[in-house]
Amino acid sequence: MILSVAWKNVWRNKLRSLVVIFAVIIGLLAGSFGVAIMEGVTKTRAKSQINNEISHIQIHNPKFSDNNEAKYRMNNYNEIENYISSLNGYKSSSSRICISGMLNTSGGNAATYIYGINPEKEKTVTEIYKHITNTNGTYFEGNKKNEVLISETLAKKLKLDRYKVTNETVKKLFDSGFPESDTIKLQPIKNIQYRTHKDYFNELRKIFDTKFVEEYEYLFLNYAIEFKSRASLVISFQNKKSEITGDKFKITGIYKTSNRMYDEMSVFVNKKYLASLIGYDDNESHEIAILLNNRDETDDFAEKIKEKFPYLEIKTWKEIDPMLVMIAEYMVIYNYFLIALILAALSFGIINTMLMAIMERTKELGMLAAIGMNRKRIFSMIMVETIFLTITGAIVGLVTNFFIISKLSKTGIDLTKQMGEAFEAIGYNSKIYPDMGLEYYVGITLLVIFAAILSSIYPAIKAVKLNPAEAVRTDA
Amino acid sequence: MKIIEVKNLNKIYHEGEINVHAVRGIDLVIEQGEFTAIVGPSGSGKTTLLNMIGGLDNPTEGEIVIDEINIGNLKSSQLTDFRMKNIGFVFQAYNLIPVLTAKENVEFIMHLQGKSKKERADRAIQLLEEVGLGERVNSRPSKLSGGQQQRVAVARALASKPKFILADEPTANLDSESTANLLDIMEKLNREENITFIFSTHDARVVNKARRVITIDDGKIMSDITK
Repeated sequence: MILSVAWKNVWRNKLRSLVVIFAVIIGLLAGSFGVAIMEGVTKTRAKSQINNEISHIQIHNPKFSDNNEAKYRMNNYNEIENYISSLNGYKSSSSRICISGMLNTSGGNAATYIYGINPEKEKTVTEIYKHITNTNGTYFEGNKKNEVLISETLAKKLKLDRYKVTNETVKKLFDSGFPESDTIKLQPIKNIQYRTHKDYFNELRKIFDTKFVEEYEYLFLNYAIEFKSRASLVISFQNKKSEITGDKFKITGIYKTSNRMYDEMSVFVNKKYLASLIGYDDNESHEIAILLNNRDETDDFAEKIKEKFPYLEIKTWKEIDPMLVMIAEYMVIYNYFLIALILAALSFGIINTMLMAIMERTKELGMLAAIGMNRKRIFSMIMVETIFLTITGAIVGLVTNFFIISKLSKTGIDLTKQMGEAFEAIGYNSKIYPDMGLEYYVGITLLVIFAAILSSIYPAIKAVKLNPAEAVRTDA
Repeated sequence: MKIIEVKNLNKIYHEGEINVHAVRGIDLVIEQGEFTAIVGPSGSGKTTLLNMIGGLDNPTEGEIVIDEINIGNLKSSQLTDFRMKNIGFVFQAYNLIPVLTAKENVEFIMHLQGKSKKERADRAIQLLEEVGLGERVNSRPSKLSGGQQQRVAVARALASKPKFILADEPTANLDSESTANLLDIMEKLNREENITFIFSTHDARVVNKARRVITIDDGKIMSDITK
């Protein structure tokens, strides 16, 4: 009955309660949406990192990780693969040769890391093949031994980038919010190829004012960029005998992930051909990357490999990139701190509302104490009223957030225009897919209840301290 | 049978540096089944006396013994419990819970006493019928007249089966018809069910109905007349 009375009391002054409930709805909607954004960013980053770069587990010669020297390799991939593929949870694996080298073109050069991969096996472990961006680009489908896959970042560094405004460029610009009237102004430079970024932007500045060009710089650049097709480059590196060797490679694919730093340091060639240039046999490799069916089984899986091959270094994705774990853990703390801060601010409004409610009901509370409602029950009633008031707003806020996130987790929020370059520079995807797990809904609800209990303490103390004899005779 | 015994009761309020002697050495005995009015001008000390008998206020000196229990020896929580089980209150301003219906208002104290839902509902309906509100059990206070609200308050006071009912100026906000109606109901309950009523009042109509009239002035009993 006290619960029923408390609930009815919440609605005594509908307007006042609705103001507080609305404040809680807005506060929690903003807070939980912020959490979903941060979670989405972090999870997309982790997913992309695992799927494109590090996989779930990597195996190396222990000395390789310390020195990154090509001589520290493994020569028993077949044996390892036979074993790991027999374990529960195994999805796929790929062996790689990893050496450092130099890329040279007529336009420039770059020091980078060269990955010798088995293209078909690698496809089952990483998703680089899904990130080929250049028109007519392929992922090792030319069946030539000297094909190479480089990133857009490296292609630009090697001055292989060209700029041409096409119909597709105009369409993409328009879809991203570029004013329709301004698309007509692009007509004079349509289908003209510019060899450098500088030439292209000089032309753009003749058409639009500098501020406008700066505003749309990222889109102008990314929607007009194309790469010199089938360009060649020379890759040089040390062979097994520490002699400088190399060959001419043909760029058949240009890729782009959301991590510019990774892109700048990663070039992919055919492992078999690279091995022949270095002097390795087919079974030799520096790195074995393993993908599992379930990320949560990584530690157990790694333990089993360690038991079987104690002389090898087995690293899980958490050990390979501890920052990934640290950021995820930090985000959880940050997210709850954000919610706690919002609730702390809302608490003042809730306390104020409850104090007003108690002031208005002084006479009634005095009567309740007089007829025998003890302090504990009065305290509980006020506390339950505060929880009802707060939790009503919280439920509406969280349910609204759930529906918004359900929609946006599919479509994503594209910040490419506004912050694309900045996101890429720090290795994050500029398209955000908000995500908030069940644990957050439970956690936030508990925080709301905790905040409501804290907010109710002062008003409840005020209520139980009322002297019934005086309270029943007040004019309130 | 003696149910209330007041011995040398004194109450001094401290208002700043001034001491107000609200009750001065009152001795009083109330027997089971009395229909007693405590009368006196404003500030005479009648409400203070009633509050102390009801355990809502503590005496500065003296004793109040109810059913052989000295309520001055009870702790605050015990006193609250004692009030719930032994004393019914009717207030001048009715003091019903506005969000509850008449029936729920009557049931509330029984809920505090831990009575079952059925027992609560049956007794609440029975009491509301006794006070002539059988047709209005589901009405909220805002839908009832002042007289009807005060009758709900009487039913609420009776719900806990108290040893006596303290009514502090119960007719002060009522018109003549409602006052007459309410007094008839209380007199009937007193006569037929031997329920003890103690009123503090200015109202001559209440005084006329009372079988014992205690007049207080300046904190002292000036007269005590049993009709």
